[in-house]
Amino acid sequence: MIQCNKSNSRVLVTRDLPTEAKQLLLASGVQATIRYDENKISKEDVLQGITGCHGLLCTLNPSIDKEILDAAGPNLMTISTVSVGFDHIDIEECKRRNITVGHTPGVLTNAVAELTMGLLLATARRIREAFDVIDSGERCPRKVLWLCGTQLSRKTIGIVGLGRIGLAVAKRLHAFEVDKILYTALSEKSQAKEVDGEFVDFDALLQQSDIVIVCCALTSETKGLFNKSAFAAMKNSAIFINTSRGSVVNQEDLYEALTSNQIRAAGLDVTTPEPLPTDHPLKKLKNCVIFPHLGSATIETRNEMWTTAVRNLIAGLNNEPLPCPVY
Amino acid sequence: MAKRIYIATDLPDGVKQKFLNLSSEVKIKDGDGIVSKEQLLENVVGCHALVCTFKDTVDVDVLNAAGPQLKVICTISVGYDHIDVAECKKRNIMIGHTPGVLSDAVAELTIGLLLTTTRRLAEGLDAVKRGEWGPFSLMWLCGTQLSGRTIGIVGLGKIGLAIAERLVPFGVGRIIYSGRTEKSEASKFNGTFVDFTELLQESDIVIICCALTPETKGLFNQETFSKMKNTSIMINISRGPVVNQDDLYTALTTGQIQAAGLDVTTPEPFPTDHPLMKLKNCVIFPHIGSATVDTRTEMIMRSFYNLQAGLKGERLPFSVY
Repeated sequence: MIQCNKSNSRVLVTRDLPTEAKQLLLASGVQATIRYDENKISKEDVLQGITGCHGLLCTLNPSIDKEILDAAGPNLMTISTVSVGFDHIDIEECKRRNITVGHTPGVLTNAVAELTMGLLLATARRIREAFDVIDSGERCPRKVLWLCGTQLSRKTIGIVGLGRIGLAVAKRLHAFEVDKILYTALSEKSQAKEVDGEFVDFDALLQQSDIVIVCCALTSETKGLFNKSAFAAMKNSAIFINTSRGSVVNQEDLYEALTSNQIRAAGLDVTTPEPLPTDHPLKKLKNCVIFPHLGSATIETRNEMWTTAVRNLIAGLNNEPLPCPVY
Repeated sequence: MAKRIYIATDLPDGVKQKFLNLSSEVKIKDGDGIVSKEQLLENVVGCHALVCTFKDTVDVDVLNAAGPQLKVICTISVGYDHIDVAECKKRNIMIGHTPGVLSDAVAELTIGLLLTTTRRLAEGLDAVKRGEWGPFSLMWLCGTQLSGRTIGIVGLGKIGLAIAERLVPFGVGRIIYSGRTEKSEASKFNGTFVDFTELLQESDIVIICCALTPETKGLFNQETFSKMKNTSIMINISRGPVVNQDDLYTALTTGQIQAAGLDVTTPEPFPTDHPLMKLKNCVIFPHIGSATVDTRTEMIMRSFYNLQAGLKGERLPFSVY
C-alpha cells in the first residue's frame, strides 16, 4: 500500500490497468481518470484529458511531446511510462519544466530476453514457413535438406548494446554451445566476462557475426543504424534480430538486403510503424519473421511493470525520489 | 561382385559423390515425393546395403524382398522404431544410426517450440499476417514466463540433457526428470530423479524426450493428463505415438492442461482437418527437430561411415546393437 500525500492529485492513465496495479493506484488516494476504451488512445484524447493533471501514467503511444506538456499546464509534476524505453517522451523538455519521469527497467529483462530467443529460434528454424506447410497440408517433398534452418551451436553471435537485456540474451545463448559472443556498447562492460563476451567495434561485429541481435536503446546515434552499408558489411548467411526499436532499422534497406541475398533472414519484434500496414513489403517475405511487439508480454511481467509504474507515479506526486527514474 | 546399394533419399550435392564412389551399383532416389512401400520393395532386391530415413518402414517384407545378401541398414536418424530390429538380429544384419550428432539441433528446436507455445508466438505471427495487431489492451497476447518454473524431462538421454542445460540460464526453477535409471549427467544442471507420477504432478512444463518403445507408446493418455497441473504445458519432440492424441485433445479443451507443443504427430504429415489443428493452445511443427543444414550433413556423413564399415563387414561406428 502506498499513499499519495496530496489529496487532490489528478492523474490521467492512458490505458486500463491490471487488477493489482489498479488497486494500488486507487487505494493511494489519487483522483485517477482511466481510459477504458480498448482502442488505441489518440493524441487528441490525451490533449483533452491531461489539462490540469498533476501526473500522467502512460505507455508507448502517443508520444509525449511539447504540445502535450503545454496542454497539461504547470500542474504536471511527473510522468510515469510503462516501458523501459523512453524515446517517446521529450526528456529535455521535461527536464526544463522540472517534470520527473519514471520508467520500468529491470523488471522486463527476462521476458524480453526470452522473447528475443524465441524470435531468434523462429527465424533461424524457419518457423513461419513451417506453419505455412502445416496449414496447407503440404507433403514433405522428401528432400533431406527440406526446411533446414541454421543451427546456433558453433556460430558467432554479435550483440549490439550489452545493457541488461543484451546481457540476459547473451547468458541464454552462452548455453547453446555458440563459438563466440561479440558485443558493441558505449564502453566495455565488466559483466561481459560472465558470457566470455568480446568487446569489438561495430564494423568488426557486422563482419564476423553469423547472428546479429540488436538490443540497444533508440537514441539519435542509433536511429537508422542498420542501413544499406550495415547490411552490406554483414555475412550473406547472417541472421538479423531486432527487439529494440523499429527506428534503429532502415526498413527499405532491410527489404533490399533480404531480397538480394545480402543477409539470410531477419526477425523483428519491433517495426516502424506499429502496427505494420497489412500490405507492407516486409510482410510478404518468407525470410522475415515479424511479431507484434511481444517483448514484455507475459502476465507476470506486465503486472510488475504496471505496479512499478504506479509506484513511480505516486513517488513523483509526493515529490519523493522515484524508484526507477529516467534521469 | 559389386555391392548393390539403395539409398532411399536424395543427397546434397556436396556429399553425393562419396556415396557413389563406394560401389559401381549405387542407386540414389531422386526427385520429390515419398518412397512408397512398393518402390522400396522393388529397389532393395539384391541389395547388400540400404540407406534410409525414419519415414521408411523396414519390416519383414522389405528384408525378404532384399534377400539374404543384405548386410547393413543405415538409417539417417537416431530413432530406429521404424526398423524390425529383432528380425535384423536374427538375420545378422547390422543397423547403423546417427545418435549424438543431432542433439544440438533438436535441443534448439525444442526450446524454440517451447517458447512458441509459452509466448503464443503462433498467434502473434497470425495477428501480424491478418493485420489484427492491437487492440492495445495491456494483456493482449500475454504469455507465461519460464522464470521460476519447474521443468520435467521425460527421458534424460543426450537430447533431454542438451535441453536441460540450455534451459538453466532462462532462470527456470527445478529441473526434474524421470526414466529407467538415475543419470550422473543430471548433476550438470542440478537435476533431480523422480518417478513419473511425481514429475507429472510437480512440473509446470513437461518435455517428452524418450524413445518410442512398447513401454512408452501411448504413455501420455487420459490418466497422465489428469495428473498434470491445469497450468502445465506439454512439449513432445520424441515420437507421435507416445501421446494419445484424442486424450490430448480432451485435455486441451477441458482445461486439464494449458497448452501443448508438438514437433511429432500421428500421422506425419498431419491432416489439416485434424481437431488438434484448430486449437489455439496447440502448436504443431512439421517434424523439424534435426532440420539444420549442419546437422543433416553430419548425419549423412555418419551414415556414410556406417555404410562404409558395413560393406567391409566391420563393426559400425554408430551401431544400434
